[in-house]
Amino acid sequence: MSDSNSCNSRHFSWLMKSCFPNTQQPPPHHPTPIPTTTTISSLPDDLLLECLSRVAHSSLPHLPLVCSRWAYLLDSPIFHLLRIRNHLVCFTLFVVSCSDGALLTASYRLENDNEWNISSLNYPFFENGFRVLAIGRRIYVIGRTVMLRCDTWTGKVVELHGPVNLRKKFAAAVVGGKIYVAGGSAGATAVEEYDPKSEKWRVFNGVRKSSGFGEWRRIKSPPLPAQVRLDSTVRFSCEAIGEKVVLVQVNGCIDDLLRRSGRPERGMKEGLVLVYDCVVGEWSRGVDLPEVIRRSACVCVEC
Amino acid sequence: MVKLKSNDDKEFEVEEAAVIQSEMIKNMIEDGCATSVIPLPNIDSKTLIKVIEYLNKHINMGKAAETGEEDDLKEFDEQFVNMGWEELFDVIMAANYLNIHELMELCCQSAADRLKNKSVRAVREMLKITNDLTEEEEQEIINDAPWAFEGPEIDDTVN
Repeated sequence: MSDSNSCNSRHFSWLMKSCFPNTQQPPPHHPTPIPTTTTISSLPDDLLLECLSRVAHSSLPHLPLVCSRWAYLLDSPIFHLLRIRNHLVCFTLFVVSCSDGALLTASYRLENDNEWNISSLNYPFFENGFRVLAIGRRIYVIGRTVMLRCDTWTGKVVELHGPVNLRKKFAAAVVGGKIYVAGGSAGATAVEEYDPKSEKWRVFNGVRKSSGFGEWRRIKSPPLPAQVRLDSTVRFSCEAIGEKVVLVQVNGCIDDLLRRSGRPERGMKEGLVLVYDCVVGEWSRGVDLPEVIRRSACVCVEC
Repeated sequence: MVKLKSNDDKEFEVEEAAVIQSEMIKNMIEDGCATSVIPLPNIDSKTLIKVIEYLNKHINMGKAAETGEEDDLKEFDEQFVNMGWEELFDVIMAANYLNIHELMELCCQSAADRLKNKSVRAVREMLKITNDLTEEEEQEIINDAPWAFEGPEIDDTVN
């Protein structure tokens, strides 16, 4: 990793060539070589990757459209690794919401942005009640029958099969680069696993209950009005972003809660974004969700 | 002084302090393999002159920070990469072969910067890339991502 050239077989081929007399080489008294033009196709993949992996974030969507070689290189794991090495990736919080079947996303780069970037996903109709997860730079929007894979670099949306069993209010998580969904299906204890490589779902039956893990520890409460009783109208979504935890108010209005319980405080409305820094142990406030994004699901993507 | 020989049989004398910025040559010198002339069978004289120009300017990288010559070096770098695509690729390949990390970085970043805000068509034309996508694939892309081909921020000029 530190030295990408050390395991480079090309050096050997050049070394080999230099050992054999080259009959094509012009004689020493004739210094002008046969003019050969160097084009981008003369660059081996590793050098082209060095160039392409450094493009600005805004230029990424163009790369795979240029030719099939570029599309292939952009998809290679080394491309992502090079971008991480060159500090070109950033923890980004994505929220996806569905309004009348149209999917809207908003993204917010925690360290860099002062506002949310809103865009709509190019998909005709989607049902509410979906879950959102991320593997690598791709976001998976898991609906009841359909799953969408959205590329955060290129904006490309691909339709895939949803889980085998019909599920409502199910749980979903990514473990070891695979998606797992559980619950929400009447009488079934089956857990399903999705492998992004084979693009297939697999059903597991009779899952054993976990014997638990670690220990819970109380952290500082988020900066919400004291003793506000959250009910089912106000919902928060919790996302880990690097060494931070972000609490996003995805539904409901806190002022309404306060009004109903007859309290005078106001000003905490909707779409709150609260950030907890695990290292310092302190909460801070992020930029509120844009108004058009409501009833959303959140996911953090390193892209 | 170290003598370097390009593949068109031209010899160049370079100070050792400059040339050891190349990890490859540094290793050769340390291993005692650089007694007379170091042949560089895949670098032509034109490219080698550029590389030596860079090495001579960057000879005391560490000192630049102390003496406040950083701006000067930055300006030199900006001017240095102001070259055609072919020449840039030649320098990238030479820098990779000679293992000059900073030069690789400078040139690869320049290549990446040149792609910024360029339309797909402009990129293909600029780099003489043959479009190997089928007409259907291309049409699908244009439907899915019309912004990649046009838009106010997209620059279609080729330079």
